[in-house]
Amino acid sequence: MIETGQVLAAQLAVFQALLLAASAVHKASTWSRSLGVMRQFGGVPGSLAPTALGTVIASELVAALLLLVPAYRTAGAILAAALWTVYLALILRAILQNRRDLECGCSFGPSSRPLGAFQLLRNGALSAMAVGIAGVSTVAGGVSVELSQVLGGLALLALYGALDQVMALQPLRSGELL
Amino acid sequence: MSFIIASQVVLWIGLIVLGVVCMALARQIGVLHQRIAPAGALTLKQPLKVGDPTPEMTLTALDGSSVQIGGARGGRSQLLLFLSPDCEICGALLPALRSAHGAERNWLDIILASDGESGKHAEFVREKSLGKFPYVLSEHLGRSYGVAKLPYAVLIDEAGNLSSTGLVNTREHLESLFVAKETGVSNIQQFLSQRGQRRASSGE
Repeated sequence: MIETGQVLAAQLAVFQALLLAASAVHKASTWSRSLGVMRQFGGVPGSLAPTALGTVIASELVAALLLLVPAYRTAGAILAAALWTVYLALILRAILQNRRDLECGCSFGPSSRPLGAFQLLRNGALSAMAVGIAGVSTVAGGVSVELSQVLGGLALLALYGALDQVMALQPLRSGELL
Repeated sequence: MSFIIASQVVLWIGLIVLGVVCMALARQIGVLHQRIAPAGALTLKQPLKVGDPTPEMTLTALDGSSVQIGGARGGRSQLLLFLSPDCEICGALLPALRSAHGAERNWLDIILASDGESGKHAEFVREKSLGKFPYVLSEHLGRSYGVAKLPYAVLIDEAGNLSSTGLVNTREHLESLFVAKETGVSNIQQFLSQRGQRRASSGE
């Protein structure tokens, strides 16, 4: 009998896999912009930036693939948690250095919002989610369960995309909203 | 059981559609933000230029307190908002003024200014609950800053120099004065002119 926690973990795993894959594709399709992010936000020297960017893209794709295969889901979740934690540390570093206006490449498009609590909370939540997925055992389900997992993952990705776009808008000066 | 599975599938699909619609709407708002020209306070011809030292004055507010206007004031900036009880746009701007008072309180003092008979203004202050703002009546003050139309705002920086100024009809106009101070662009005309030059030089 499959438990609720296992269904939820499977749905979240599909969501994380889709998000990581989309992130990797986005980085690859905006290569020159991502190289700039690597240099300025990641602090990678210019000559090493292409190699570092290639490694990040490959890591995200590997984590996405592992998350989609039930037998390797735990390994994929651990790799995803490590990636989110590194991104979280880089955002925290930029905030502490008072470089909030840096392009962090953590949005699917140009963002008018400086780095702050939202990015920290988001990456913290993604990291905690990946750790949670790694801690739940996988169980094979029927077609209906797998369909529910894929649809659930897609719905979460759509909601994440909506949140990403809303939070990329220019914040109101007086802070009436958000 | 099949009914529950079917309804769950429909609900997930509904949620996906809803998420995509929200994403498209938010993106459209972002595109609109980029396309429309920024709203800014229109600067009218006036005796003082941006960067000029402002005249120092000490006036008595409606509540009897003494108010220093202009000059260096311990690291705080000053916003003079010229208004009138008869001006409807001035009344419509008051909620934006209250919200600016809260959002910018760390660096900004707001002073309301007008001229005329004090009784009418005291009634206006009571009616609109403006007791927390110093309210001064001085025709000389208005003339010093060349105020010809209302509501008109003048932002004086912490050194006592004129930072930005203009006709403020909306919240965006009011906030544009603060942005002008932060970015060093004195008014909307200068911003649009600089943007036009940048676009021309980059061949856009």
